[in-house]
Amino acid sequence: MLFNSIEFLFFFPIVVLAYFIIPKKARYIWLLFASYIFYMGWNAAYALLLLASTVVTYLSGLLLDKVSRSPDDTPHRTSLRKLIVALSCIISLGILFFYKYFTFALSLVSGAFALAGISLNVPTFDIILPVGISFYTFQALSYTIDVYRGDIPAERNFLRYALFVSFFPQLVAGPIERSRNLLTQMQKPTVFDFDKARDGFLLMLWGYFLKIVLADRIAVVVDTVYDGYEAYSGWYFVVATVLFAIQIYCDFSGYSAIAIGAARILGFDLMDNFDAPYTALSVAEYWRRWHISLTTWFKDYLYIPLGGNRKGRFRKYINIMIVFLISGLWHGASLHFVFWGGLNGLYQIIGECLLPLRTRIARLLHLDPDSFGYRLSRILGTFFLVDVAFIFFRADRIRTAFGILGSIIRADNPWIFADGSLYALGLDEKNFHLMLICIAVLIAADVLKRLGYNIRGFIAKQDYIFRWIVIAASIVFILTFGLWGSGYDANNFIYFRF
Amino acid sequence: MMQTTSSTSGFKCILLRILSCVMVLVLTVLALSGLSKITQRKKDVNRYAAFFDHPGDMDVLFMGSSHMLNATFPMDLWHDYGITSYNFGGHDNYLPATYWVMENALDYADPEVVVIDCLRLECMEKMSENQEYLHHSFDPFPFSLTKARAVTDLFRDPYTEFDGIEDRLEGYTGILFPYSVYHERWNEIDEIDFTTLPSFEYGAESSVVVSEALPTIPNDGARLTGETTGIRYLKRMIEDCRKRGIEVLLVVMPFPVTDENAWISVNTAQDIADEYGVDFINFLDMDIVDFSTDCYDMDSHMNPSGAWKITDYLGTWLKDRYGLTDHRGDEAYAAWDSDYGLYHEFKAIRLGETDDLNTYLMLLADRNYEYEMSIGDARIFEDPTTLDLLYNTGVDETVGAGTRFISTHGGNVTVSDSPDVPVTDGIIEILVYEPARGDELIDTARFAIPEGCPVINRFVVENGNVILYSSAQRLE
Repeated sequence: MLFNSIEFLFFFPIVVLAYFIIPKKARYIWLLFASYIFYMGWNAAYALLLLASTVVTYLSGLLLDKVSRSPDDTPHRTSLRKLIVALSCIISLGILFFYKYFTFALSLVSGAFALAGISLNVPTFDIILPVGISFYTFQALSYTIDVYRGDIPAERNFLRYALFVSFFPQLVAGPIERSRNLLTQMQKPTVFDFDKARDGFLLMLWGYFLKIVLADRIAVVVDTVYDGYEAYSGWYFVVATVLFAIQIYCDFSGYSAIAIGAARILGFDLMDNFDAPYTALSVAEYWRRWHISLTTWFKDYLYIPLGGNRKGRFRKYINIMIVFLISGLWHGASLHFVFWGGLNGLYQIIGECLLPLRTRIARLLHLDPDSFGYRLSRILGTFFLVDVAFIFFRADRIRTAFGILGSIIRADNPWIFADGSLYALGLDEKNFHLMLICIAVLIAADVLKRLGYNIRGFIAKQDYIFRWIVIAASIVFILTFGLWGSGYDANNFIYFRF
Repeated sequence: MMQTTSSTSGFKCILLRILSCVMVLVLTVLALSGLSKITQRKKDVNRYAAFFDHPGDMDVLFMGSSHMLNATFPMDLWHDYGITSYNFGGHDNYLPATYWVMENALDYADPEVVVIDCLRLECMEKMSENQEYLHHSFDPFPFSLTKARAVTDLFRDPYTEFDGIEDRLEGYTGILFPYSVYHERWNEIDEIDFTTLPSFEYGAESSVVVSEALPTIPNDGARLTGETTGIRYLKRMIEDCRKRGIEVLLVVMPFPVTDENAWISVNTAQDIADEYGVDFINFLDMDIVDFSTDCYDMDSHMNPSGAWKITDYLGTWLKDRYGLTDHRGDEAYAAWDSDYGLYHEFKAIRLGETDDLNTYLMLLADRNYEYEMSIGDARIFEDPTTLDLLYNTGVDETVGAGTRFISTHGGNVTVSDSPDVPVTDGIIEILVYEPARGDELIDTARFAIPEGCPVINRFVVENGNVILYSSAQRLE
């Protein structure tokens, strides 16, 4: 079930209403039931995978807890604990590997043999990627590792743990929650809080604005150019690539906002997933603001265990590259995603290496690092680098991405901005202008957020009539200008694929 | 005391919050319902607008599929018989959809007779695969309990294939809350969306071409054995009309039958009419229309020429059988006369914009028109369709090339070969009058076969139908 589907418009109010009506003790069971219904809306059979992942990590948690409690404090116990956590990871990641990477791995093997001149008859498998498998696998794994580290006690109530893994607002596209945050909130039933629910509702509205008004509208232009890239060149790719950066941001942060808002209405606080990433002054800062739940997951459960920055500069760079290459692979079973991840890793390493030089140049030129112009140039420079990397994310293969990059470098058709060509990319003039206006709204909102203004808080402080009008107008705006309803083939959120 | 104050303010706070939710809801619903009216497709809204202007006037409602939609003209019934009626036929309406259109219409009207087109009795599905057609039939009805019941029933259909619950739900909400479909029209809104232009044809829809008709297959008398969804809903319609004291007339419109299921449906309709003792007219058994001139497509629908014949027959039947009052001249029905004036203008404009001689001749089958024609090109008689269409207007073989004649419906033809009445070589000239409006000149047209045109017939395949255009085209 998609957040922007009509089903969800019926599903969510029913779930919320029933949740606060039924006895407190049964609330988490109701949410668990609703979460599985939500997930089974895509493919009922794949709920078994979700269940399998839940059972494996739940049992590993119990076993880790049992071994930890044993009075026998020997190296044997440590080995046993390591074995349990390793087995849990192998099984969970094994499921993920089979459903997401098996075909890709086969093609790599086949390609490698082909390079050596050996033709391999690789069987083909029609494996459908279970929705959100990367998200719930990582969330469940974080629980096992947290129990192993002793950060949290093992959860004994299976149903409650199952709810933690399958909690529907963030089940299929995050934020990837930590057991420390979400599981502990699930220990006791939440109560209805009007202010919190209103805030959650406003957040959901913002999410819907980002998704169905902006992301889906931008997608029309981006898909036209990228899916038919042979017919386009130069400035078309510049426009489409800049728009893609905005599309993927709106798509994913829109989904996150709906998820966080929906959870908040139910009384749960999920972690923030995006923090105005395109206002970042460097690529490193961008990654602290983009998909925060995944970035911190990799930091906590991969980068630091690998040694982080504790083992010298060279090792640190190696660790950064490992994290980003795996992050790329997490986003998709294809080399162009890995390339995208690697490029982002390289940006960070080169950025760090060049930092002294950049600082010296700035000093020589008497540039004030706090001046508006200097900061703006850094923001634009960061966006440029991130957006160039996105070419490899959006293109269907690395070779295509290089072709597009080459065409951008040779761009010689600036007239497309004046002769109406941009209105022939799937959006008519009015829709194109509406898209630009909405992008301006997004930029304004992110700048205000960066400057520390809380727009939802501002609205909440206003008098009743103002609030009524703002909320009603927002709903009407989204329902009027959003791409939804019959006749409209709801675009899946981009991150569902991951 | 403190506790009482605190609980009072707590209660106030809850009330205020409830009020907030209600107010947001009210504001949203008000805005959406206003926008919904603006964004709705005006073609559908306009089609029922005349009905909603005076629903209480209706003596007869025509219900059914596109066969009904194309074949009965309420405005001609009014003009010729003084019968007040509305056409609720809909494209690809199956009987369950027709049933619910009738139920919705009966929320507003209290007719004396409902005429039901009995096609598709053999169907198990409740509605067309193309939900667009449902929109045409249901969008103009305001939101109501009956409409909600209609949509709920139609979408609870085990025989209609939906692509998952999402598809079913989207279809459901699309009909019940059309804004979910039409909000995307925000960028098309113009002046027309803020005005209502009622259908000049009172729900009917003319399809103005002449098509070749396929041969009709013989009727082997087969009947449906079990009860289909179509039968169930036809019976519900009859029973519901009876409960309301409304007379029911079942009809089968004329069309070239090419599918044996159609004959099965027709034969079964006869049985149902007999079972309930309701009137039944099977136009397929009558020699009223001529498929060589009266079809709009190859196997289904009537063009206006056919529709005028059906309408005329039904007018006489309705009047004689049910004793419907002739409302012409009644002050209370003055709006019908002014609406007929608009219909008259609509027909005149349509005739004036018709470029093709065959189509023009087909439109001259209108019994309210008389025309004077001079024929300066004998080649048009080489086209059998043109000849048929000419005879269809009431003239006979006494007219020929080099003649000028006046035709009035009813076979009164005056031929003149007087040199005082010039016939221009190569030109077919037509003057059209409406005697009932003081011989008002409706249109003057001159047709000629373009130079070098090698063929007499100009057949064009459109949407799988062979359209029988003439080589003679209108001159500017």
